Amino acid sequence: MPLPFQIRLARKGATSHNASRLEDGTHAGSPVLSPDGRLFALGTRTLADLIAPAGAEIRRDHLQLDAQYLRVMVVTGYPRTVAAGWLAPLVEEIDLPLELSLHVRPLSSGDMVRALGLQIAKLESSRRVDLLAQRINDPERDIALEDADRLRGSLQRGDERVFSVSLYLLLRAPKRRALDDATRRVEANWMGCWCIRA
Amino acid sequence: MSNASAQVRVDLTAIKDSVACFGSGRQAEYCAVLEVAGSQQSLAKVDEAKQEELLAGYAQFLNSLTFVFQLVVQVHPVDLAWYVARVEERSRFLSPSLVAIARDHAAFVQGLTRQRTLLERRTYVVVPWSAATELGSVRNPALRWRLPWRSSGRVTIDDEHAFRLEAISRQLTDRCDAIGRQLSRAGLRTARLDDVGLAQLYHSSWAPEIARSQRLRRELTDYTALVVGASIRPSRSIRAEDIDGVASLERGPAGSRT
Repeated sequence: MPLPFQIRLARKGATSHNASRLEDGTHAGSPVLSPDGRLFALGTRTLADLIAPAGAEIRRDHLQLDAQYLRVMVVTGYPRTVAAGWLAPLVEEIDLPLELSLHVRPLSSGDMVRALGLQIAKLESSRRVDLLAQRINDPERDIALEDADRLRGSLQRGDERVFSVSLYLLLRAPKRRALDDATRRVEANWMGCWCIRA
Repeated sequence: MSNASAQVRVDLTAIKDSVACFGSGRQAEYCAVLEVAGSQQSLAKVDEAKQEELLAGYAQFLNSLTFVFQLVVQVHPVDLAWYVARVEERSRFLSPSLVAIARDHAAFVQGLTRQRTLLERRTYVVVPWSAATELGSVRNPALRWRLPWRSSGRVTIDDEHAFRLEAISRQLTDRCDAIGRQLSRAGLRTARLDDVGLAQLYHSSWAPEIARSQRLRRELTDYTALVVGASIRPSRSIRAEDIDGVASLERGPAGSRT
């Protein structure tokens, strides 16, 4: 899953023609430089020099950029339905410096209809087995079947579309203790969602 | 924890034509950023009819999109020190009756920043482009970028890279325009960030303290362009110090600009 764009880090082994200037002055993937060339490469400035912090440290449960502490939280469980402005309390009411990042990927309706058809077939067969065995209906399965059937109809008609959504939260604080407090406040206020610290 | 410098950890390699580039080669990822200026009203607090109208607009926006995008809401503390300093500086040239009001206003703003945490909210829509996402369905991605006249052998790697960048930039512009059109129907204004805007955004995200005190210049190339030139004066011989590049080599890795 992609990280919020603000704190994305260089991938391991990634090469870049300019910013990946190595400590010895060479560029990754470039031919071996002469000693003078290496010195010259060290003296040039790149975009990374301009925007990078003086220091970046990755710890087990937080990130430190200069003197600031950061923590990323990932939402892993969502409520079944959400009302309009469901994220407003987080952005507007908690007075904390934070960055909310919502990644949205539209999914192909045709693929979704096929996947839902398979899901409906599984749920329906499970319901029929229970019926033959004279067992009581599972209400959770009935609701899932109803939802899947309705969604398939809406997708087929083109009324709705399905998106893959991932939600991240980046907290910033000047001290480690303040970061922990901010994390606790967010966890307490984020009603109906499961989130984990990344 | 590795000993690599912080610069190596920043994957941003270039910002050109309002497009930020991460990584390099065929694995490179690109993105364009739109800043969204919305209404001050919260969606949850408007009346039901207005809410339905806005939601229909947002639903139309989502349903019309066929590509990946990212919504970012930044809540940052506001630094009003520059504003107070500006008011005080201006007050020197005002009439005596206005000076008292200006100083009173500056004191009020200072008091406000001390008593309360003032936060500023900014919303961005990020439109990314990466080969893995866009060309995932094509069996051989290299074929997608092969030019019709490639077989003639006249095309260099640089030409192909430029062609590729142009195609990506055009695609991102089309997508940004589509997002801008759809959001304007929902009553939101958008403005695409230019090169300096993108650099400021990343600078304030990576190093907020430095970004607050240091403003970027209008041209990004001023920072990264090599300054290797000689001020030739016929009256005397050229010394090493006159050539910026040579001077920087002699000084070592500290910098290339005098």
